[in-house]
Amino acid sequence: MRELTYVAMLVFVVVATLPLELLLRVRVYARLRRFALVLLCADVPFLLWDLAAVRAGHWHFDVSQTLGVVLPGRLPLEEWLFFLVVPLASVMTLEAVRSVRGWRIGDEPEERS
Amino acid sequence: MSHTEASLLGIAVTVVLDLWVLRTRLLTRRAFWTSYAIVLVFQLLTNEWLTSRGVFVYGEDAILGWRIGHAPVEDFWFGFSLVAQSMIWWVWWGRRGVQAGPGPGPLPAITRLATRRRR
Repeated sequence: MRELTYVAMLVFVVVATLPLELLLRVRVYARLRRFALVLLCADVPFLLWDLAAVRAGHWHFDVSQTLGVVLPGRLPLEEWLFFLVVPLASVMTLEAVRSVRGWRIGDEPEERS
Repeated sequence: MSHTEASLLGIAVTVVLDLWVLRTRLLTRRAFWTSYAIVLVFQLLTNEWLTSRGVFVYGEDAILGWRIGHAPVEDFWFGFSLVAQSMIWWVWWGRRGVQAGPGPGPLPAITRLATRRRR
């Protein structure tokens, strides 16, 4: 069970946010092209930061609490998935707040002129 | 550079990116701060899960040693930047016309449930 510690957190985040797509209809899963562009723009600097921080000794990972797949740069698979799951949850939360409250976020047609 | 300096620099970059480079101005909207408050609650839970079990191990020289639970305060600064920049780029691509605009809103059954409770 110990090796599931990190991946359990990722699964929790994905499961906990799923109702936002199904019940609040945030349409993030339905807009994968836009989400892929977010990952491309937002993740690259943070992944470089992560790799540099590991190399500089700012932090490291207890591999015995991961599935054991270590990718280049000494990052476990879960750490790469972290950079998929956290932006996903962030964007879904923003869209959920808009869905429920109707507040603008800036991409509405009337804001884009 | 320590984790402390890097994560504070990250916040500064995030602010400059939002207000002046991309001019998405998401940090001026209540939709952002409400969303961030919700994400922060979940970050407190998930980061505590990982740091209390030692999945993340920190170099003592890299952090101030101020902790919220078991998590170094720097993790919350790092998290703010990652969360905010994800949202900022989502808005930016939407403003460029990529799959933009609000969704259809909650399922009607959810809206009915919520309004009934409010009465």
